[in-house]
Amino acid sequence: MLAGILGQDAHTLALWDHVFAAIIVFTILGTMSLVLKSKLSPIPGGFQQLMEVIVEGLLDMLDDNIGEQGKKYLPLVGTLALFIFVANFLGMVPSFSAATGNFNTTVACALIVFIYYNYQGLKEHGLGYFKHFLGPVPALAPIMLPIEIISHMSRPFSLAVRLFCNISGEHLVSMVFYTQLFAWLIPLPIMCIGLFAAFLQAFIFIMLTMVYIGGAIAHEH
Amino acid sequence: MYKFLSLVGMFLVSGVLLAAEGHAEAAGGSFFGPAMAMAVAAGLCGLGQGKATMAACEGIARNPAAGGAIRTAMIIGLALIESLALYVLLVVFVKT
Repeated sequence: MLAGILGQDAHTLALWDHVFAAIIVFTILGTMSLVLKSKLSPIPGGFQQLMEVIVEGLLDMLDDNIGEQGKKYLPLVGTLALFIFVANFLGMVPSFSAATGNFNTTVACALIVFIYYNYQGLKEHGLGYFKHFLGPVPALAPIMLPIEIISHMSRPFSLAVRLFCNISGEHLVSMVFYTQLFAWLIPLPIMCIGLFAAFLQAFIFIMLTMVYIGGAIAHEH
Repeated sequence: MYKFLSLVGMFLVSGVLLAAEGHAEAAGGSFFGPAMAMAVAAGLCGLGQGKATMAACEGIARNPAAGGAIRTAMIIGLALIESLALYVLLVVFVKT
């Protein structure tokens, strides 16, 4: 029915799985935020307390990793954290698919992080940001430059691959057990690990984001 | 040590020979290469994560007050080691 509305056949529509899942995720997050914002009170109810715990945890981590200026990166880091966390968890619910289980979504998140931390580094240091790539001693610059460039290029790739493979790998192994090995309760421990991995991968993603931002804006003394 | 390594080497070589046979029979190419690579990657990842967890347990046992920080560092280290095995899984995904 939806296929008829959009004018595509069902097979093409199934390729847009991750788009619809991402739309559902940010609809959930958006309505949650708007509802919470209209009900903010000095004596917090249950849900506001939960959100305060999350925000305080993020601020603590930002303070640990970036230092004093950590607070101004809270919007990006918080958005990424909530989006990836809710997207991963929604994939664990039986008939939903994970938005981050598709390589396109995770590459998008990783590219946002890559462009953002380079932009912040350029904003902080101006063109002197590129001196970071030359290494500690100017004599080592010809060796350090390709190494640094390769390691910086590998950062968004590793972020995207880590998140994608963790989430879709769990689905894949569950599918193999369901369809080929036909053991009804065996996927259960795999899905438990999948739940743990859903939280852990969101945490690792934003931890690495904070480390990269901190590294980009760091001032050597 | 050398006996163990030569044993592993014998298995790997025989695996390569079996893959060559399978490739001659099946026109579509064998799956043995990526599967073997994934097995080796998973095994080495297990060893690496075992060492990381062992160091974390010793650290917490010596200094329980620093348990939170050690636990955080261990979790980050485990995820980074895991991602190395996941790069090989990506090759498996691309292959099939």
